[in-house]
Amino acid sequence: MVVCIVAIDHSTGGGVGVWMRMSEARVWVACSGIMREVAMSGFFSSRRSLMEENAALRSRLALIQDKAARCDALEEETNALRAITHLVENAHGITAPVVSSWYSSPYGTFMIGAGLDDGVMQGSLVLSGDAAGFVVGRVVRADARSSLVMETFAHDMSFEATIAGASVLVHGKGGYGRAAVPRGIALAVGDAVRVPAYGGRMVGVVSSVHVDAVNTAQDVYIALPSALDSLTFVYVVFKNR
Amino acid sequence: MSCVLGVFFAPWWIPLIGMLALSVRFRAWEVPCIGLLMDVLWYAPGAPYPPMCALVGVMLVWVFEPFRTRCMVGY
Repeated sequence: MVVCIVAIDHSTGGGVGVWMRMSEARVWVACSGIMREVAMSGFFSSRRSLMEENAALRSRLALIQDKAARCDALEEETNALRAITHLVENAHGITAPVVSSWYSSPYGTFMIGAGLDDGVMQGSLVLSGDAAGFVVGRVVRADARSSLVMETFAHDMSFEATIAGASVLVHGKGGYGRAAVPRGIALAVGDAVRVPAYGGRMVGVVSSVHVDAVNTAQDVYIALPSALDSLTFVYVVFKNR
Repeated sequence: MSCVLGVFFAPWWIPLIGMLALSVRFRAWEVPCIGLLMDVLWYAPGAPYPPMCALVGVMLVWVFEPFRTRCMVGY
């Protein structure tokens, strides 16, 4: 039979060999693909080596996640501090972190991480870190490295303010203020509320106006544009000595 | 312990609820102490009202004394 195949191959000018080689090439490509897929699937990898690889990958993933979380925290802190830098141009003071919860105090107070050693004195104004620099409170007790701040709109706090040119008395209600403004004065939501005693600085904006047909005055509600609990840094203005 | 931690980290009404729960069940000296801690930590000098938390603690323990005597089993 072998002699016959050789004779046929010789008589056809190597056609049998060509056909054989082409078939072999196709089978080889198919089989090598299959072998490669089987090898990559890890079916034949040892369980121990896979466990070691898993542990190494898991620890590397935890390290990368930790670095990503730190980057996010630093970016947030940088953005908060960047928002405060413009306040330095207009008033001499110091940036301080908020070191307590905004809601822990039943008296409308919170603590900041700056005190007498940093130049903070009792009565210093505390501004928010946003573009407008609203007065969020006033230092009522300054210790060496921390201070207690009374919120502007703490319960039972009252102060004179101007809204749309009119002088009104604002009463703190815990997080927001309320004032009675004569009905003849045109007010709009978003009007700035300024306090002359604070150097004309803003303490909030008009959030809503309620007009009652019976009363001669309109109830104006005043609040900060942004939530207090979003502030992580504040700016303390030094008092003129 | 949760009340003490709540004075520092939780909204103020959480330690108040804890003080109420403690005073309903026990003649707890901790209740006025927690109120005192809140006053020492958060009360602002010069505020238009006196420090109230310690006083509220004493009142809670005192007000619930008849209830504890009559209604609490094993008191």
